[in-house]
Amino acid sequence: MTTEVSRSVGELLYLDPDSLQKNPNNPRRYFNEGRLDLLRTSIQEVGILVPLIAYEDPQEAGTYVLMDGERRWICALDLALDQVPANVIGQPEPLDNLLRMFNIHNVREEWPLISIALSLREVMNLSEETRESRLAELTGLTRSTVRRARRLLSLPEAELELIQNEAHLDRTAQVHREDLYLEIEAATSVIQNQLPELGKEYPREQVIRQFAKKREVGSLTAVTDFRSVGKIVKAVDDELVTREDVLTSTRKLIEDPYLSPVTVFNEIAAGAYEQQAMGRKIELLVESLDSLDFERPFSQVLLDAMRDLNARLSRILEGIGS
Amino acid sequence: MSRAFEDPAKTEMRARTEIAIDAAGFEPVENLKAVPLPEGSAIRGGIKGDLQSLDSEGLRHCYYLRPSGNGVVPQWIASLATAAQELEDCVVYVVVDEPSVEMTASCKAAGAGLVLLTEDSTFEWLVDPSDWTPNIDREAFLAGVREVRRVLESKLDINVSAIDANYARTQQLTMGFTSEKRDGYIADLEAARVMWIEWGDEMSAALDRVAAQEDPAELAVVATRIESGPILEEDDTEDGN
Repeated sequence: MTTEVSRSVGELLYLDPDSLQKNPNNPRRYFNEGRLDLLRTSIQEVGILVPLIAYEDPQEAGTYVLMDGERRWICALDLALDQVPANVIGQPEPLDNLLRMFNIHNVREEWPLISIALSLREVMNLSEETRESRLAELTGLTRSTVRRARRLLSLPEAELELIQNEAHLDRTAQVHREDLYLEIEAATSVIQNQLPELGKEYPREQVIRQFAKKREVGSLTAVTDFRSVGKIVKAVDDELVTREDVLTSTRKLIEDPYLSPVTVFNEIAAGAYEQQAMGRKIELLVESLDSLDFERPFSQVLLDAMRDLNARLSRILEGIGS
Repeated sequence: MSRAFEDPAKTEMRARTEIAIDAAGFEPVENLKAVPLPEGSAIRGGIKGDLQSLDSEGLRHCYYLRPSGNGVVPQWIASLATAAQELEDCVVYVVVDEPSVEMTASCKAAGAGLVLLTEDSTFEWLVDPSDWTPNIDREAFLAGVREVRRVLESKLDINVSAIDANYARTQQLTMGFTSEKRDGYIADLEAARVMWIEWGDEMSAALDRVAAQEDPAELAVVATRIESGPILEEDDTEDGN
């Protein structure tokens, strides 16, 4: 039953909850049953105090699209209320609708990043705005969120679909996590930019898919394992390993889903990085030795340590020489 | 009927419960009927449930599905179950997939039936709603719980509305800020909001437990916690949250 006080836009109506539908621009998400209980009990005991906001569906007279109040509406259905208060507004323009959904819901309902990203793409399409700062102002998002959302949007559609399909799950149950893909995106960019030869051999989409497979088959210990890719490539710049070795290892890393980036790092670059670190420590020691004051007596402890170091260095250098 | 916004765990439970209803020999109801509450009821709405069935005598079973419902029965379902005890043609059942002592005790106290949905999609009847006996003291106690709940709602409303108002005015409030400072301001608002909402959920669940256990001492403890509000970090208090 729909009890309409008036059809005038902006006036308070009492609508049958069954005549309402969710906003198509509100991301696909699910509400945890437990988290709705407080609201259900409250509405059952005192009613809906803050009216919903909706506009009449131009496709179907007598039905309404929600702008605000999806949780209250769900509770009304669960409680079998026969009517809910709603402020009916005019149908907003598509961009206005989207921006309102951002500003009403984003902070309140903790959208997952994938939902933000997909809605942001719509905002960019409708507004033709691509500047990060302007998008942040329009949507009320932080610039870093806009940046991360746009990085997600750079992923192939098939991967976005995989993330979206699991967005309702607890983080621990998600395989295709947003943070996994942000790490993959960063690792892929490093390969494309620093090893362009591989960029020609393996299209970006293929590298991303192959890296995602590592998570699917369980060869990662953490999503941050992909940070090793940056360190492997940087080892070439630091002249710790040869470019050819890095190309060969990275090819293997791309092709073998069971090979972890950490394993490749340990095999090819970890030892070289340890030597680089030791070299820096030796430089510091040499600086200290150079500043020794020979006019003051040396302690026995220092003398013993220096003799021990001298003996060790001699043995190592003889070993290398032979 | 599953709903587009429904938790997949509940959708899965819904499908298995439909099988269990059929296996139990009840007639499933396709178009759920909202059963009106008894006249003079203090609560709003009706009794509908997520699924319904009719037994051979025409008694309507309204099933409320609680995937992972290992706490007490939520107050809104408890109130519907108690109200249903005054009706001749309707009973409320809570369906869980894991039995728990708390859920069993709270269903018994509220007059709700409790069924365990087994792995092979059959019902195991844990609490029979016809065993319930009315308790006048319970209604008085629940009135006290309701009062405390109103305090909780007011506190949440005041604080969350203030955060939302600031969020809506971010553009004006952060005029002249560096982007880092603006991001920090928004992140603080979001964190404060999450903190209040999570605290509200926690207190609401605590009130549900108190109502199920009818423990006046525990009600006093929860009332004091609600009066005090969430424990704020030093940084949050500086922001005036």
